[in-house]
Amino acid sequence: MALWADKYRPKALAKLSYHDNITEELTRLADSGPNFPHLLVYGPSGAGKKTRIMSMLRRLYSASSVDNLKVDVKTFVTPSNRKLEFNVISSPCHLEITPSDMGNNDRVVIQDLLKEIGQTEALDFSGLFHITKKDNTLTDDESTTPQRKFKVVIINESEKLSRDAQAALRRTMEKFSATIRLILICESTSNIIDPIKSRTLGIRIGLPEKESIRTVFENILSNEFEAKKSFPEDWDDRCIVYDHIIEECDQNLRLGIMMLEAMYMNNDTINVQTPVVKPDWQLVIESLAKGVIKDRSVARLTTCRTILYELLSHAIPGKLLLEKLMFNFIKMIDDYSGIHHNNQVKMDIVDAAALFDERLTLGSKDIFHLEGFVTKVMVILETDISSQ
Amino acid sequence: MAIIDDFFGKNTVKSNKAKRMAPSATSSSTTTATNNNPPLKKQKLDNSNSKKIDVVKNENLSTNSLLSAEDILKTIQDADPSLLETDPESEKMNFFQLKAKQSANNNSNIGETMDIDSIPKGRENCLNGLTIVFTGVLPSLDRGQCEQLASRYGAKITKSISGKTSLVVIGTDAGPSKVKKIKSLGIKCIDQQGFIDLISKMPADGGSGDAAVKELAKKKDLERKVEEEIEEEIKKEQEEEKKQLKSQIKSTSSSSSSSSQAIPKTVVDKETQLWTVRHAPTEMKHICGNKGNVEMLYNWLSTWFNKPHNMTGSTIDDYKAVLISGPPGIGKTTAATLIAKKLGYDVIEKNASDFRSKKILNENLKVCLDNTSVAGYFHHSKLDPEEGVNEINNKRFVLLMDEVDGMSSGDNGGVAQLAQFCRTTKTPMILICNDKSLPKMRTLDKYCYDVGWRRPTSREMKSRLMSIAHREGLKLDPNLIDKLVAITHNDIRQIINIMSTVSRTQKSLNFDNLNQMQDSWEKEVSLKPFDVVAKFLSPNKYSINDKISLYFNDMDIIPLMIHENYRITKPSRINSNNKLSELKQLSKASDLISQSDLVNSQIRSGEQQWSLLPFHAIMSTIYPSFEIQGQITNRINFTSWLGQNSKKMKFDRIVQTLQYHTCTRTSTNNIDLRLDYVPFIKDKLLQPLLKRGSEGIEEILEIMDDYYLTKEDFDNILELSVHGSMKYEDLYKKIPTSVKSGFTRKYNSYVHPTMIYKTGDSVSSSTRRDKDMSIEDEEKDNGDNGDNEGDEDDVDLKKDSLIKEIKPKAIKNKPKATKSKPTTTKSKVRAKK
Repeated sequence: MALWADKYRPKALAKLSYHDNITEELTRLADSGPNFPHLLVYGPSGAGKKTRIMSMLRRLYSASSVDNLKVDVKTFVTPSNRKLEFNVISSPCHLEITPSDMGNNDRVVIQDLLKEIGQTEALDFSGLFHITKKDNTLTDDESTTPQRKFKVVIINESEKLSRDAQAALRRTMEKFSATIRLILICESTSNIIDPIKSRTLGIRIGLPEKESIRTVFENILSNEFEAKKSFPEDWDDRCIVYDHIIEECDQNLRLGIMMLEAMYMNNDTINVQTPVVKPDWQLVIESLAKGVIKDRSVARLTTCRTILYELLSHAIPGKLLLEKLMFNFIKMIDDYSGIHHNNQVKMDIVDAAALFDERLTLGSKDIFHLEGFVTKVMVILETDISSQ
Repeated sequence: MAIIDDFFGKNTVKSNKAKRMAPSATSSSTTTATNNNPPLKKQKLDNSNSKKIDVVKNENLSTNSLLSAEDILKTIQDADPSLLETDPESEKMNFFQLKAKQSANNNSNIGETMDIDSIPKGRENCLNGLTIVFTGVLPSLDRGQCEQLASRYGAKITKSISGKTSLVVIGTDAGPSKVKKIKSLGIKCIDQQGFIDLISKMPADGGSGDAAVKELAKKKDLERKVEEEIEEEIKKEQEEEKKQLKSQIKSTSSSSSSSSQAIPKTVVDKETQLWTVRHAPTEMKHICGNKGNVEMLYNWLSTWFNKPHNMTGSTIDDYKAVLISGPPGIGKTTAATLIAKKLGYDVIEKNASDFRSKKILNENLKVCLDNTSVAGYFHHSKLDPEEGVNEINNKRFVLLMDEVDGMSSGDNGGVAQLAQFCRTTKTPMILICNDKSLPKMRTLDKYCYDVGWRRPTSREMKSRLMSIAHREGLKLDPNLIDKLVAITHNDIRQIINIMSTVSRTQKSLNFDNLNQMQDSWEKEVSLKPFDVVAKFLSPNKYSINDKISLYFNDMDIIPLMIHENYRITKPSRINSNNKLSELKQLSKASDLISQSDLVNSQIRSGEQQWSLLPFHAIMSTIYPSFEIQGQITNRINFTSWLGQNSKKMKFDRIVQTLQYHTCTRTSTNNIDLRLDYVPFIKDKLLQPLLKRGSEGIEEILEIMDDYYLTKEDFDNILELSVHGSMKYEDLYKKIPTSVKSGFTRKYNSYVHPTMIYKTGDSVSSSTRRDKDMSIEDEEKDNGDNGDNEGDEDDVDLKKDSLIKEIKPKAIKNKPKATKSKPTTTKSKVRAKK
């Protein structure tokens, strides 16, 4: 009873439905065996980075060993003698770590953990495993898994690695290249230092095309017979529903599938007018933006602060908040009649957003900058509205 | 820690600072003052007994014959009647709005303030007997200056108008209620000019009016009382000295415990003693202020051994120990020692100069307290051989722990041990500290009765200070005491020290030489963030350096407080009531605050550029508050950032745990999990319960096991959703309680797969079993995702059957047979392990 997004996640490279050229490239990489390079996989969230990597690993090793996942808690001791706990997802042939969980101590993780793995040669017991299990279901192709000399280490959120950690990484990548292959995953490479970029093969996985998303949706529904009944019969109508979702999820496929499922769960029958179920935080940001455009006053600022605090404290990142707010403002300005120079106002707002985005990156107290942005937007709007 | 709570004290200080800034004016005024009435002063200096007043009076009669305050008031014009008209609007406004309006009107007048010294000097004590109320805003004098002026000439200043009020000095925008009262009582009103005229016209000592005479008599009374006291004390001292001499002849040795007591034993060194020691109170009535507390403490101590002390009630008699807390220099230790001594107790004092770690307390003090078994022994051994043996209290002693909050990190476990003593002690204990709100003092809360020592007021200190001054031969102007009290924030010890310092060089302490020495006396106090923020946000004339030092009162909290409160002012920099300009001003401030965060991260992150702190002071606090300073229109709140930040940490941790639990399923990072999964998985978890009630439980548990979610995670997912200012209905609340409890019961009925095993996380056997299962579960998960036929080994099959078997049974609630089965399988599992 998993969510659709997980249930219909492709498991093999052959089953991936879009970005065929990348799929082909990955297939060749997986087949290249010992020449497998370090990878830097980047692209927006919900594009399918992890899905592709895992599919590739399944081809590189075997599906049975890659999916043999477990989570270990490792303890590290920082130079200042603090004990840290760190979760590592591992299978016999690969490891997945998120060093940014450790905040500023990520360097210790990189140094200790990678060295530890690098200094031990990977032993694949998968062959042994099959015998004891008396396994008949596996095909011949999979049981004769090629033995790999190296383990793959997947580093999640690598853009959040501190400079120190990245520096620690660069030498490790070469020194232990016999035993370790790294796959760095990030949303944007702007925070990755050049030495690492030069040591990795960059693969960008962009958001899927609208057409591909429609196909994915259709594919899911064709497997969910129950659900399909509540969606419109007509293909064109269904397309309109899909397009609504695609617009709301910004082509984030994961979010899109979630919305599709939520739509089915919340409505018995779905037609063209059925509203898309949006995540709670999006709704809150929208209402916040609406409030600011309608009422530009000191009192409104006070309520804004409360809402911003609520969003921030409930683990919504400040940068995303700023971005969503800006796009909402820009979208709503066209609908608001009191504004004289739409384009000028939009440009000013984007300008302000850019300024405060930088400050969000450099500073530490998100609320200061978000509040600064909202106040600035109020001034921009009020200046335009009161000008005659 | 001392706190400024004396508004007027600070004001006078401020105005005096202003005065010192114009030295020429000061010097000229002092010269005029001395020219005006040199004979009067001489008189006053030379005569210290009651004769003085008569002489002064005679002098008065000769210069200003037979004028009373009433006569003079008649000659002064009434205030402009328009000042008495209230704005009907203002009656509806609340305090803050009114203030805001006043300041708005005020702004136009700013700049013509008058120096207090340019006002012609009046005669000595000339406002004596008058009760004056200042209301409204005077055109060129501020309230503090007026009050200083009036009190200098002996007037009594009150805040509210009553029948006793002799005149009102009124300015613009007087409070509507006050104006009403003035009208109904028909009190004489004068304006600023009238007030200045009054000062110059009034005869010395308030003329011949009834009130003035009465007041004069009162003052005379006070002086006589002081003198009587002094005489009495001197007499006593002499007796004491004689006694001392006698006893010294008798026995040259003195007991060790009594040497710690303040006065009498070391008479020989009297000249070298500090004034504070020399004049420490020897009688209960000499203690200034806190009469109630002193009495309570006295009663408590005197009946200590007759009380059960069950530690449960709320009165002082239920406690074995007392915790006295209060700012320094107000006589806490003095009072405690004196009370114990008066009752004849022997005092064991330990203060911050002693080591007070757990070990040492146990070694040295425990024997004194924990004397249940050998109580009789102590009764006899712990005698004070010096004093009268027949009094029972002499066999007992009081443990006085001074400066408890000074128990530092070196005193390992001292406070906890002390709390332990407080519980079990067989002798009375008195603990003294400055700040009982400190976290380390909290351990004592439960076992001590808390006595808050207040600062004595100037009225309470007056006679004592006068008598000390008299005995030391220092001329002290009675009107000056208020001022001394204000400077030192009611610290009587410091006042005595100041007097002692002055006596080295000068023969008198009066208004004229006070100002010169004020800087060195002015007590450094750290201000509370609230006071500092109020100073920043309201219009002020501090220099930038003053402001920086204000920021450094608490550089962590104050910037946050400014951010929290920068919207509550009505900026005075903009005159019009324009919304746009107000927003612009706010935007400037918030922009600066946002920039200051960049500086802050330079300081506190890896860079550690602490030299940037003054810059941060300006960016985060001084500049923004300069942009928006104006009348404060709302309450100043404590910063919410701290709370919100810890809330954020909590939710971050929750998301992290969720991610750990679900990571093998979802393959996302924390942020995407929060953004994409949480809102929808919440729906997915609630919908079955909403739609199908208890039948949906099965489905939910399946989802939860699939994602390795625990019940705790379930609750956390619900908690993670946000609503902002939107209306929403709490879906979880709509689920009937029976379903909810059924869900919980069901959840608890079997063991769930877990993904993570933490080494040493918990030692209970149940979690260990959990661990075993989780490993097995993972094995089960390995080969195939989702469908679990085929390749499981023996244990896995059992495991699986275990889960599947309980479920239907738990629903049907069949009794015995079902219960036995899972346990047997479980034990089998354990056996296998």
